[in-house]
Amino acid sequence: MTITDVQAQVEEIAQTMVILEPSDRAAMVKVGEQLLELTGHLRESGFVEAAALTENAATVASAHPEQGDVPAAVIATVNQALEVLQEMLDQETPADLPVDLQLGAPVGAMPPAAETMAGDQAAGSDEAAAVPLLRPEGLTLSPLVDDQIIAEFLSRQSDSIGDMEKLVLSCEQQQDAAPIEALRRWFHTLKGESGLLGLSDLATICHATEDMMQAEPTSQCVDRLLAVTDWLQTCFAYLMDRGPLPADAASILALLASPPAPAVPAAPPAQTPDAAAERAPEDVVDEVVEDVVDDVAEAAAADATGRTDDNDGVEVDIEAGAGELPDYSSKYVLDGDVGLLQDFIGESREHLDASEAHLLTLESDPGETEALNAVFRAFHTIKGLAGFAELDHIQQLAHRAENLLDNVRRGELDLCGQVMDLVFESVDVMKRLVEGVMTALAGSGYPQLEPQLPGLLARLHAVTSGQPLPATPLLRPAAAPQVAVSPAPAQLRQPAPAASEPEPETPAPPSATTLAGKTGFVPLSNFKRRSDGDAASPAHPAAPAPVATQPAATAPVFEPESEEAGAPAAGAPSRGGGKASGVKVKEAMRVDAERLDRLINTIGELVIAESMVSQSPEVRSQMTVKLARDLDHLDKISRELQEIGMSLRMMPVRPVFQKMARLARDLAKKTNRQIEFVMTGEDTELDKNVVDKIGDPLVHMVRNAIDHGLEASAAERRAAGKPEIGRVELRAFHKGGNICIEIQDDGRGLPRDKILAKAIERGLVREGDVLTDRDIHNLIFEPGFSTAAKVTDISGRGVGMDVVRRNIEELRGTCEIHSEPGRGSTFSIKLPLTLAIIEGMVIRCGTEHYIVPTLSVVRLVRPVASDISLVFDRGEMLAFEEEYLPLFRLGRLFNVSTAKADPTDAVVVVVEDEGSKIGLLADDLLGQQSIVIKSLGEAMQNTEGVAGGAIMSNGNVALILDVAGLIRAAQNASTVLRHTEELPMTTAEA
Amino acid sequence: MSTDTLKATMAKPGKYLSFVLGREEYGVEILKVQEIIGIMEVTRVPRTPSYVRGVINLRGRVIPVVDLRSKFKMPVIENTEKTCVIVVQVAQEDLTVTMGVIVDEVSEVLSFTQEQIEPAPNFGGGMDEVEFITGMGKLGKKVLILLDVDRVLKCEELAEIAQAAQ
Repeated sequence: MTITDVQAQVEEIAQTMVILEPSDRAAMVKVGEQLLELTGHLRESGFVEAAALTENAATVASAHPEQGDVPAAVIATVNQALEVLQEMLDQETPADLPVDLQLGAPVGAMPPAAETMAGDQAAGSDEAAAVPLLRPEGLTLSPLVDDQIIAEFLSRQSDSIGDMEKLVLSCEQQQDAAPIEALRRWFHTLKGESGLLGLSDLATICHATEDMMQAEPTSQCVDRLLAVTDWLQTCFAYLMDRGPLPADAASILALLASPPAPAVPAAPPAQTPDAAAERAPEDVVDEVVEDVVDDVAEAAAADATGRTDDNDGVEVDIEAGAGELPDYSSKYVLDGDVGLLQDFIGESREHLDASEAHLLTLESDPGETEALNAVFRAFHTIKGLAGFAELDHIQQLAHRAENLLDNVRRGELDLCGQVMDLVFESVDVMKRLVEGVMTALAGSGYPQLEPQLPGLLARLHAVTSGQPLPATPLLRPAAAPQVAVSPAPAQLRQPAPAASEPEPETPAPPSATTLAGKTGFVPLSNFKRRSDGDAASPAHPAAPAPVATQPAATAPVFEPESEEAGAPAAGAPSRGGGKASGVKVKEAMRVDAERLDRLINTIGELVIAESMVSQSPEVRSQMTVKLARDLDHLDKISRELQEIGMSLRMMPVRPVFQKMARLARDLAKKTNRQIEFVMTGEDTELDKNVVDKIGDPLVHMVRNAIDHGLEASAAERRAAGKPEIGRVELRAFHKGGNICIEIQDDGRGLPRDKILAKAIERGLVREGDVLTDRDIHNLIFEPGFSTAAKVTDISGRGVGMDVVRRNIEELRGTCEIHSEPGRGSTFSIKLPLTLAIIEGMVIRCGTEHYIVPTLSVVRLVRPVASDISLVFDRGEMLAFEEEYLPLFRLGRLFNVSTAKADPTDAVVVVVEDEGSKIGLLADDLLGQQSIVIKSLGEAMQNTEGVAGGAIMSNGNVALILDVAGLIRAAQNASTVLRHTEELPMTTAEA
Repeated sequence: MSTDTLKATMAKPGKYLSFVLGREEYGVEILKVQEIIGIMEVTRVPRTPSYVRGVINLRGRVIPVVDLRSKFKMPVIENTEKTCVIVVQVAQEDLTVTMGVIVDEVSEVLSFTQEQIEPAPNFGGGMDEVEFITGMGKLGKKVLILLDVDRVLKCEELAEIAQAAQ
């Protein structure tokens, strides 16, 4: 059969098609048959590509539904196929068409024109030449296809893809054959059409999807189907110039071929039996994927020579598109056990926070082996958990960090300098990865992949295997040549040794380069190489990678480094695999805060009701031994209940403090200051809301303390006669019914004059205004107020303190500044205890009961007459431990007419605040108890001397004394003294 | 401070809870009322204006209570069996505050139409409390003094007075 004959036949089919009515299914079937026949002829004549085309067109033609009209899409597809075919035949260049209709068939060599166009198209995508199959040629429209056809195809597909998603979802809900059939047809049609248009990637994916649907019950592969539809959507958007380049087809292929863990195919079955068990049966996996798996097996087997630790084989990252694939998050959410992942997040956070604390310990005391072991264990646990939760990228990072720490443990490395930084960075990156998992879990999509990860992994490995980091002089250069880091599979990509890789400054755009780099699809490049001969010259890997709109050329390229590079002996020995079957998972539950509050309030009511019953005279009069015992029991239970209730909302401030310690360390490094960061009171408990909100202000305050507070250099400090190492102290404690958080530095102190000058310049104060130190200090809370000469990336914009004030005001707290020039500043945040529990002493004054926070109480004394002396005949003084304290009668301060007048018959509560002590004269001490502080509400919260209220066992409210306020009131307000004058000095006793 | 600027907005027609202070009957918008409770032990809060009776425990919440007699400069009397606390939700700037007002007696809920409400009488100077009145509700022979409870229980004022008292 000659070309002419074929042409005639094509012409004939084309004519049939032109007059074909959608209702005429028989005609369509005939066309299909004709096309098949034509395929045979073409194949005989050696027009392989054309044959493939017609074969596919035939498939499309016969794929329409059994009933109803022939879909317009089918007709259009066949028409397109015929047009292309005619053009091909006209040109008599049958072998040059880039039609890749068969899965497993390698991408055909591109005709020159197509190559150029592919190049142009790829320009925006910056595809890495290193992974030839990933070049968007698979997404490059055939130059032979008319623009209009493409436009029509795209608009049609992007419309129908939404319907497809619905179908997929309906497959999940019901085992109905109809949607499955419809899906299959859709994919089949799409395969044919995209094949015609030269979109080989699309065709490949569709084919693989079809295979998958055939091999597995559809309900089981819904996730993957959704992944495919998402990917297709991205593709269409990309082709319409409306979106970024989609993830490379290979990642989807891998996803399709490996049900539960898409990236695991990279892990050779022999080395990760668990993963292999979860993988789809081999017979399902189509040709290419088999190749993929084989290649990976080879590569990894080669990689893992001499290694026993199973994780090391998993060099191909889980993040195969994790960052860029929109569907990946759904994979996490749907595939992984959500509970497991949540546990993982919770536990990992705890471990990371703990390790940060330990690392800080280690930094100051490198000999602290227990801390080192703790960090090591933390990473080990995370590794295990991550393995369990199928979070391979986290697992991998944990593993690398663990290896590094193991070397440290064995004394082969010193945990200092860069090694320390590296470990810190690992903790940081790990934290972000865990956050990422959480974001994915929350359903808001998988976040941008941590761009530092590949570089970090590489550096971790480099250090572990004894290679020096770039900045350090080559200490042991001969031990491990850096070239060894790039094993065979990596030769196709930039042969940049991991160690010399620059750390990316900005997150790389989601281009295919990054993707390819991160995913490290070694097997695919291998496959490409093998099947396609010298498609891409390994010598010029970056050459065809066009750089255009995206600066992705500098994107990090993950070196799929193999473990034998470097010193394998230095690696960690097997630790019984990474599975965390033995890890105890902590149970946690999210509860609506409002319900919690209601519970706590109700418990409070119960306790009060209980005591009202047991104290009631009626019950008392009937008291028997048994009743007394039962009441005791009831009392015990209700108290326990109350304690539990109270503890529910409370959490220690420790996590926030630890963050600050970390921040301080980083800032010190960044600003080249030597600081000593001391924390006290990390166990102070605060309401969870407060803990959550206090972080931001603290960040700014710590920054300020370090960047502004401390002197810029050790020399300056020396000159000021201070120790070279600056000291910043972070404290939390209860004080008078408040929780105080203080940040103290021993730096320069606030520059009073500078602040004043700036305030005058900004018109905040007028020249000549008389301002107290306090007024001046408070000026720094003004928005935009900064005396910094220049804005650094740490501070200087004058935003920080504004944030501090706002957040603290939101928590209804106050912030005060004490500063001494040259001596340093103290910022104290005082937070009200909306729900905090304090220990309080209940005192009586006349008929009224008050509570003094036990923490403010220094001592209780029953004074003798000689202890008390008068000043000016009205101010009373108490001799107390060789000092004279001002003595204030609570009854007079608070106008309690029934209070005892004779001090020797009363009790003096010596209270202290900020170093100043006073004596408070009360009638009696009634006892001590834990109390929940309740706000007195908007109207009363400013009442001086009263910090809040507490509900006592009789249901009444007792007021909690604000000791600081009382001292202030007592000391400053002469009104109080004058007031007492007016009262008769001797009142009748109550 | 002129009386005109302080005069409360005109009362809206609707349901009012009526209560008694001395021989007068007052009304507050029913929508402001959360509940009515019998008088209970009130904890005095020192250094607050005299009309603030103190705080009470409302099922685990501590809320301030205001003695309305004292607020309106009427003679303060001992609590009786009929003394009640009307718990109201008052709007203060952008938040709602729960407070209690002590009244002699709570009577009933009455509906007023627009026609039944008359503007507050002008007593001229010397009676600042007029600013709390939004109107007079007439029902037959009965006249209700309709109060703007938000204004009566303005926290700011409480705080100011509290400060001044120091």
